[in-house]
Amino acid sequence: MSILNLNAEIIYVFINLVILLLLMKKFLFGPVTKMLDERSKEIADTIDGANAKMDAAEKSRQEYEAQLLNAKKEAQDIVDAAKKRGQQEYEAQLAKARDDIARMQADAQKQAQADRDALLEGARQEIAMLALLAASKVSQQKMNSQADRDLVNAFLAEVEETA
Amino acid sequence: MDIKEELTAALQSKTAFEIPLFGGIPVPESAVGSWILIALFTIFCIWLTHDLKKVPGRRQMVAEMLVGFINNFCKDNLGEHWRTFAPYIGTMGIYLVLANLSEFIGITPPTKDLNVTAGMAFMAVLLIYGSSFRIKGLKGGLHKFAEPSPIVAPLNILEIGIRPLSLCMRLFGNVFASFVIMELVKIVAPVLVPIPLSLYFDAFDGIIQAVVFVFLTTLFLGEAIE
Repeated sequence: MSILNLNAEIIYVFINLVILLLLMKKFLFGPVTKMLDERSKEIADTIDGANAKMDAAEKSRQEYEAQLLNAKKEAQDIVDAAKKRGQQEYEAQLAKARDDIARMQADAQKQAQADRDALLEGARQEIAMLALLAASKVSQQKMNSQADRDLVNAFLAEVEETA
Repeated sequence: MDIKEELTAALQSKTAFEIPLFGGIPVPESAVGSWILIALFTIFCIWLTHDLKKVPGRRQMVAEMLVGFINNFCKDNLGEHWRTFAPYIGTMGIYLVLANLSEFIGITPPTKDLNVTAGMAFMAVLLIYGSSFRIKGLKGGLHKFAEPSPIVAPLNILEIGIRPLSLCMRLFGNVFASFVIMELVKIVAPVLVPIPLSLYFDAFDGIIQAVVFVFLTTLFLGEAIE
């Protein structure tokens, strides 16, 4: 019994504190800290999951964009190739048509030349015949032997050369 | 019976009863008071923390705020080792607040008994130096005495005794003094007047002293294990 008593009864304080500590660990700090940890872990997990999902979404978006870009490029290539081929085809056709026309013109010219030559030849023979006929009339004798004909022809050739 | 005798009688640390073993083991009033406080608070905690859920109810919020406050306080002051110490720091704080406020439920404050504050200070110092050696190792723990400079080593060694003494005496002195003042006031003016004074001396000062005790212990501990 005193006011400033510091004695062996201090042991009660140690015991009491340890008992209170164990009780608090069991009933307050243990369960509540565990719950808080679990909750923050869950929140962290949720955020991580959300981030991962967002990353995946972003990645697939980029993939799709790249694919789209590729597809566009391919389409453009195809169109370009088709245009080029069309152009080539067109030019080839055009060249062929030009060739054809030139050939046809040449043929026509040749034909015309041939026709003219044939006509000239015909006319020349006709004239030769007429000349022979006229000559035979003049000489009252038939002039249809080969020798006569050669003669007239030579004459005509001479006339052509001088003309 | 004059005032002096009455006051002296009120200030005695009484023995509540004796355990009839080995010729009678005395159980001080402070121990009985502590047991009542421990029992009440444990029941309160069990009520608070039974049936914890991921989505907390109002009851669970109170428990989480209390524990979260103590955990954060330890995180701020003790860093990575807070998990080890938070329960003890928290227990100390809870016990001191309860003990200092026990006047309100008619229990003589256990902290008015010098044994209680001395015991708590002793345990605090045991915790501080024990943790220092436990975490830093023998060499690191000894090295702590030569910080910040070997010249101050004698002071650091003296602190082993000074720290618990100051912790113990500060708490005891405050609670004891407020108890004396309140007893005097009650003798002089037993009606109405003690109410506001009691709020200041018992509630405000009691909580402040509990906080100071816990804060200093945490500070020393943080310094010892950093």
